[in-house]
Amino acid sequence: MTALLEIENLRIGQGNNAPIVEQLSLSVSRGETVGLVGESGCGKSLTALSVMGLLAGNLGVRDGKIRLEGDEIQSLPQRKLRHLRGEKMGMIFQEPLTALNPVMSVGVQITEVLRNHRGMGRAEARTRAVELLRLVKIPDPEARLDEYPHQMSGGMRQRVVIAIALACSPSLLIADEPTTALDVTVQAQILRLLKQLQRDENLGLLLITHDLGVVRQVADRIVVMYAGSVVEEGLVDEVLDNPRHPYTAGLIAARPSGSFAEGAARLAEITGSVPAPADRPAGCVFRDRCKQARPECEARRPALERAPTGHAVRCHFPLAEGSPA
Amino acid sequence: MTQTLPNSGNGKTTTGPRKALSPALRYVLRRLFQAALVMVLVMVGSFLLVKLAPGDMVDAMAGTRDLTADQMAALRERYGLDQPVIVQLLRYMALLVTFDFGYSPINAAPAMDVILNRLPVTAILVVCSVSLSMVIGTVFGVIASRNAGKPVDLLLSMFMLLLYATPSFIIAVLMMLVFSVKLNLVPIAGFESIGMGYTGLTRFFDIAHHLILPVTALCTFYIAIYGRIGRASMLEVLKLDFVRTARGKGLGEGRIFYVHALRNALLPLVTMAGLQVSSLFGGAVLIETIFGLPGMGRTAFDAVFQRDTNLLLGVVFVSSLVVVIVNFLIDLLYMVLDPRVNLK
Repeated sequence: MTALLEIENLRIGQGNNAPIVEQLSLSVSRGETVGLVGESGCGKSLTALSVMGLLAGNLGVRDGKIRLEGDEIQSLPQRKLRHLRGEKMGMIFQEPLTALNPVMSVGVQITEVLRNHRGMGRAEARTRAVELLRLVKIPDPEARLDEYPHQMSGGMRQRVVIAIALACSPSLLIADEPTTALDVTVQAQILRLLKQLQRDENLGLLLITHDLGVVRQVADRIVVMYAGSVVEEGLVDEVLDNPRHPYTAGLIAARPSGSFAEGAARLAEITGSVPAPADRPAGCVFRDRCKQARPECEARRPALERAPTGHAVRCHFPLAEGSPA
Repeated sequence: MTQTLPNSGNGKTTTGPRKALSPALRYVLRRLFQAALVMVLVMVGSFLLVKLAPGDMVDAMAGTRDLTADQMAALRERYGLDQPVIVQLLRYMALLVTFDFGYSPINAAPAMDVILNRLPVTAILVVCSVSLSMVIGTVFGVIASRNAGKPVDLLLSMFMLLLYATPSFIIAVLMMLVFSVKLNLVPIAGFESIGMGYTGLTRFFDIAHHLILPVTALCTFYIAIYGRIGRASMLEVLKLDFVRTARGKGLGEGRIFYVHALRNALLPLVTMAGLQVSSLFGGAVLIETIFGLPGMGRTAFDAVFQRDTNLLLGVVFVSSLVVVIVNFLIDLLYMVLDPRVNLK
């Protein structure tokens, strides 16, 4: 598989403060779904926004490379970058309720992408918009086109956002917590839809989530982030069945068992909390919360070591293969 | 006031079982009823307030025309001022229903004629000031927000603060001194040139020439208000998620700014326009006085001081009617601008 999106050694910082994301590398190939997992505030969304070139305010990429189909995104002029957005890469956001403009009809919000990137006329764009709504399985698409976002449910709105992201048949789709704000039943529908679209359109899908269940359902590969950098990466089954970083193991153990039985295990938790970028400890950033931490962990920051299987882990003392999660 | 935001997230709007009246008609009828109720309350309240004040219109007449006690009593009887207040009120309201405001002694004419004569002056003044200040203020606000934090924004913000802080009568007098007295560019006062017998386009330009200064004076404060509200509103809207979606689609900054954001940011400005019309309609007394314009504010002011109750109440009636109508129009405009606003 050739890489569609390649991120190399990315560093994102705010002004001159300590970097929020550092030493982050990952890649997404065509037709591949990569789950980017981590706690809130670990830099997942910033990574996604930096790929889209949408970092706002004084946030910016300080170092590293982001390549989309070989084009280096940071060195592109704004005009070219704008062209890539919507045309080659689309993004789905966390909050479907606020992601659409409340005073514009759904149809206008879909067709403007087509008219902007493809130079389509009104009628042609409208026909394509109906197709798109049908693609994301919105019933009665012709009528829905003239509705406003507030007339639709959260799930429907998320489908519209997906339709907008897919309008120009991009090769990369970034979905930032696409189901977090939705009801559980709707979540499953949207995930199924995303997976199906990804297969049908041979998309590279970067799925950002904090839900390991979602990753297991949808993703081919998983990238686990902690405090701004990748701590573990590999095929989903390999990593989730056989986590080698204590943080990944902790995340897996912290999942609810799904049982209400009286004897069901209490939730295990990872003690402490994610340090703020400025308070990240020297050496291994996870050592303050790690049960296995040794003096070595304080002295030196571990590198991301990749096994021949492709399973990579950033830990001096990774958990043994086959040890229980 | 009467708009409601429906719960987000419900499905299609349902048309429901067919009612005898269409929703739009029911809405208009309800608004009409509300308007009538407001007018009655305003008029009853104002009437009683006026009656609470010492002195009546016969006292005012006596001040200018040496009347004997007998003559005054006769006049009071003639105008019904000797009756109990409640009787006077009912009589007044009965007249009002036929749009008869009664007699205005200080003008020696029916109050309705006086008001109809002066209404156009204020109407022109208000329409010009509101549209000018709204357009200029909004442009300032948008420019400031587009350049937020940059020198242009700082300069504009400082300029708007200056306009905001300087009382309009000071600006009026200063402009008079500079543009009329020193430079002799515009007439110093009045609504039009008297005795020139201008008609048609010549008259239009004559009036426009006369109104440059008063309209500018009425605008300055409101330009600052629109500018500040516009800037804040744009910056608020630009932070919203849908702006990020628009950027994610690869739209140009211009479209994001002027199509996506501006339309959302207009609502508070429209609200402000409604308030401005209401407050200028009767409240431009100072400017009307400084520039010798025979408008509604001036008329009300004179009526109060000369105890011309009929004229005063007439002005109150017309101003309230304008406020009620403008409010209705603003609500309709809301519906055009924001599809979430319902006929409720």
